[in-house]
Amino acid sequence: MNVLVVDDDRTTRFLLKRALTNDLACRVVEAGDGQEALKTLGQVDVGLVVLDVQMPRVDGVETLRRIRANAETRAIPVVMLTAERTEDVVRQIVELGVLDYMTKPLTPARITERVKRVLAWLSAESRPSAARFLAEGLSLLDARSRMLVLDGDESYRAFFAQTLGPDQLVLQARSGVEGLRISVESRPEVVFVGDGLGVLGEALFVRKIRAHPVLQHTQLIAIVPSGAPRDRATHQEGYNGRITRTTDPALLLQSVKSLLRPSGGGLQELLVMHPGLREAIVSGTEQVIGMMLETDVELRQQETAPAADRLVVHQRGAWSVNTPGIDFRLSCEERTGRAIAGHLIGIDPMMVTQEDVESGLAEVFNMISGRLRTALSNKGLRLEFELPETTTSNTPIGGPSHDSMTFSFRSAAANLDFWLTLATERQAAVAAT
Amino acid sequence: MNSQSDSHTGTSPSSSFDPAELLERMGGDEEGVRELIEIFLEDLPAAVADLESAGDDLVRLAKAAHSIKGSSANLAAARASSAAAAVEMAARAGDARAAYQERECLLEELRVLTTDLERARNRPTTEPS
Repeated sequence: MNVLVVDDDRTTRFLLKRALTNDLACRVVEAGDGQEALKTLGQVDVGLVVLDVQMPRVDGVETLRRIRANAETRAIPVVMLTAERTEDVVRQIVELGVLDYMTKPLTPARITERVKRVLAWLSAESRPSAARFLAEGLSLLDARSRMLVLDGDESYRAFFAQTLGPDQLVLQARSGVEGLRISVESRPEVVFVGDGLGVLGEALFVRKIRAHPVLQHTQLIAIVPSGAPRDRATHQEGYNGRITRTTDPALLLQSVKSLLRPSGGGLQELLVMHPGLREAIVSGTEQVIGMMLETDVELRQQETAPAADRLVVHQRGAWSVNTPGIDFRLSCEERTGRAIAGHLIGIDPMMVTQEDVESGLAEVFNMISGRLRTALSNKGLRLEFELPETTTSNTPIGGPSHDSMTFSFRSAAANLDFWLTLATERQAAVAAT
Repeated sequence: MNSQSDSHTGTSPSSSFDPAELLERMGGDEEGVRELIEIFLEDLPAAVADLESAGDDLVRLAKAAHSIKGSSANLAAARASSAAAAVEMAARAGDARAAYQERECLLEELRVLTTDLERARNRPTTEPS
């Protein structure tokens, strides 16, 4: 892939070029300012742009605006390189739409880590939507999941692979031995296990996977004949779920889809029905807060909760994506709220008042919403949001059976945490009564 | 950030840059470090000229300082980077007197840094004991 690196500072270009070339096997084209970059985009087929904000002649924001305004370059993913905490600039960047951002100073390790993540997103983005729909829906997996179908019947395997996605996404194996080999080589995240597997049969295959130090966490789904007793496969140790064998594409899809809702929740379904919504929420939050605080912000793999003994500030409002609403809450400890407000106003966090914290968080949330609106409108979805309000009360959103989901974010460098909780409007309404 | 790297590398806080930190950031690639220093030194005279020629134009001064803030941070030159940040902040706040004072500090810092980098260019892993 050709990556266009745009920065007037040669030391930054050098670090980026070195990491992209050596560690990520990209070809790098350089430009010293926006004008040169726009010219290059007209001449070279570029798969990714890494763009600095402050540059002579045409700056990064204007360059981004022109990239987005030109039909030929509109869809090119951009990673913003920034030491920018000016609210207006951050707002413009997130609304114009960037895939990610990197903060300075750069180190080769951080460049590699960040760009790897971007490349993984890009490969997930380029998948046909049906495959992405499934991949996103398999909630225990990430969007880059590989699947393996293991069955002795060649025509069933072909039907399965064709129905669920392109060949490169669904790997196939005709026997238990071949299935093990492919699992070791390609590490699929989910394996659908059928029958007719030869000497290394179904039960033995499952035991071997579960005993393997690397593969043991693979999701294993049994393919059981229709009409089989419900406990036929699931009583066996080691399966995560089961689907019914069918040659009807709609039934197969429905069967796989039924696996997608472990909690049976409306929110989960909403996220599955709108591929890209989850990513837009996560990346929008990371970008707005990360650029504001001038630090790398990342989604934590594991959900955490705010420490009970620290005052927590909540920002609450609602989003409506086409139809049902999502009640959201952005929470952070008071010191995080102070840091954000201090950056926004440009004063020392110690001088920040409670009122500043509230208006600062409201502003941040409006920016995230703005970013989300742009991202969703590209996918034909309409987002409306209500003006958020800030509270320090920790009333859970949703009732006891509430359908909610919390994303935990962390900035390791700044030692700050914050949380984004989503709940469906239905549960929010219940909670309000 | 500076104090943290100082404490774990054992480099004196008074150093204009931290060679051990820089080498670590570059994954131990001494040739890469040397090349990075070379690029910085080649471009520094033009950056200094921008600082000096900004005159009364605080916007230009802020931009010139911003640029040095970024490139010196790439070289683990924390003192120059924070001196440049001080110039940028004062210039952006419209405080001309403070901006010019900070500029003098930055120019002095850059002179020291240049000498240290030139020395390190030939022996980038230098860690005097």
